[in-house]
Amino acid sequence: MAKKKKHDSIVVVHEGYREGYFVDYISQFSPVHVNYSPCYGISASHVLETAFKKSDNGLRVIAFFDEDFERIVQRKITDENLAILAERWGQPLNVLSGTRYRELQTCNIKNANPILAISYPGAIEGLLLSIVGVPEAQLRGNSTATLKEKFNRLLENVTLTAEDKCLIDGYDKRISMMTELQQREPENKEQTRYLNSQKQILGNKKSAVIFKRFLALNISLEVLQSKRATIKTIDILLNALGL
Amino acid sequence: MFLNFKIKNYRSIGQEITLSFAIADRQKIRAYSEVNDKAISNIACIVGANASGKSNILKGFYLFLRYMCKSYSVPMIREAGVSDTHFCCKNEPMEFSTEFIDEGTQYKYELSILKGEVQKESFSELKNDTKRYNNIFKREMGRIVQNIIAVNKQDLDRLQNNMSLMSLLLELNYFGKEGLKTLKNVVTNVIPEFRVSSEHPLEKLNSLTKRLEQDTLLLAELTDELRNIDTGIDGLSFGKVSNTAGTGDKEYAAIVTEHKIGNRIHPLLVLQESSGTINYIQLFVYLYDIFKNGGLLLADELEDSLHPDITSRIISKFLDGDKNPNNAQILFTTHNPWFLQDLTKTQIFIAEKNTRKETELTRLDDIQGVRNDENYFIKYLAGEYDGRPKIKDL
Repeated sequence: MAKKKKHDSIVVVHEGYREGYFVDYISQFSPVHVNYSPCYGISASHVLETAFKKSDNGLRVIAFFDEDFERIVQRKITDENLAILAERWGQPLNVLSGTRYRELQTCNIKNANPILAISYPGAIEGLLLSIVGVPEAQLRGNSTATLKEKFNRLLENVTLTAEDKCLIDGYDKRISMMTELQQREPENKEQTRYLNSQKQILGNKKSAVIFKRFLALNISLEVLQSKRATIKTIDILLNALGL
Repeated sequence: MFLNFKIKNYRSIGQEITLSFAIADRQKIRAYSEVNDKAISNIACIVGANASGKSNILKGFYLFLRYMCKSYSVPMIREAGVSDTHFCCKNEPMEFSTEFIDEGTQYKYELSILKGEVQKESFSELKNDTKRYNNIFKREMGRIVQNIIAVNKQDLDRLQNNMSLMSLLLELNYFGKEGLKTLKNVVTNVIPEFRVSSEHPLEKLNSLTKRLEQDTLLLAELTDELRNIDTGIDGLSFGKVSNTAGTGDKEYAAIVTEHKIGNRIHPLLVLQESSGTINYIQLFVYLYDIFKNGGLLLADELEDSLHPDITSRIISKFLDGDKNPNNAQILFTTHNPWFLQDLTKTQIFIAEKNTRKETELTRLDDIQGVRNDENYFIKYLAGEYDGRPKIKDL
């Protein structure tokens, strides 16, 4: 019997659900085992600090977050964390200071840990719109909300498979069951709170089905490969995943 | 010492799996015993996802060992678990085998059981000159086809199809009273299903207490250990506890722990101690027996309610030749991969299910690319060796 082989692995510390789903989608083409460490929407520094800790375990790590973090003071990379990043990358701090995040990811010339991957323009939605061919000039300067709106319009036109519809029906049925239970026992406040949170989660799962179908229909490995020359983030992600 | 176990067609185990304690020369790093010029590991640790079949491996070995040694004298063993075949192979026999070294001689024992009846059974001895196994006895479809050990007819008449010949021979001392101790010195926390319902906690406590009352050395060692590991216990004594539930009062012997505060001693019934302390007391008795007499401890979820420092302490005793002079072995499952960093490649086994839902077992040194110097704890958790649950939701 052929010997089993050890896999290479990488940890993706990501900011939002969509970053996670996107990398998970790419990972199907990759020989590398991907582990996920979500840091939902807190700050660039929080993503980086988690990435530093994971790196200290001797694992290869990608810190993946949106460019728009640089616009909000509370969400920016702190000076302290930028200094740590400079040290880990073996770069002078003055090279990294003041560099826009989309350029910052290219400063890691030694491919040191943690690897930085930035969704731009603006956010993951801007990155995905660029990949499917929307010119960057049309996206530049858009607010994150506008980018999300544009992207969501694309999602409205996604053709779902029978399997997708079945999944969504299943989620809808569970949401209806929860609503009925809430109506039967409106005085049970703890239960109501719990069911509301569960309904929210199921709603996210429904969105994820559509998002994942969008990726499968529009972003093949060939498309990704063709974009690596023009979109640095894609090149960084594909390299890290051994593609 | 046991060299290996093999199981086929038992519960989640379809195709044959092998758990080997044997170490090749190039893998001799630490924590092994040299017996008959063979390096044999003292530790085997199985990790894997829930429902990967880890416990089934232990239960299978235990069923095998009990059937091998006790199916003649304990009738219940003849029925329990002996028809637990894999979903796909209901009409095929369960097969077990082991190789072990006892008093300088290497033996091999094989057993196959179909629907509660022994199909094949053989016991053989490795000849040093030829390096081949010579049968001591061989049995097929209820017939003894080789009887080198010369079992007399009167004894053979006691043998039924639903028991092993080995258990009969051990019971009748065909190998001497002290013979084949390796097979007899097996202790475990695995509770066979037929005993689960009868395992009343107070009955268990009663027998443990009586054991401690009779064995003063064990009591002294246990007391010392409990003081050592920061349980807050300063001494042990004995008391009674009565069960008023059910029909009539019944009294059970019970361990009483003593907590000294200033000059006062505060007694506490052991059942009021933490679950970790209670589990450790039980486990300590197994460990005491194993280190004192040599043998094998089969421990399912070794860390159950124990702090990692305590579990590491247990593992390190098996790794330390001074503390383990009788070459005791431990085979344990765990859901705490922290301990993997204390072990070598030859001591770690990854259990996982294949696409046919059969348990597969791979020793870490059989996975290509695993280095001696890597941190198995980190790499296992990173999924580099598989054997982790494949959770679908991100």
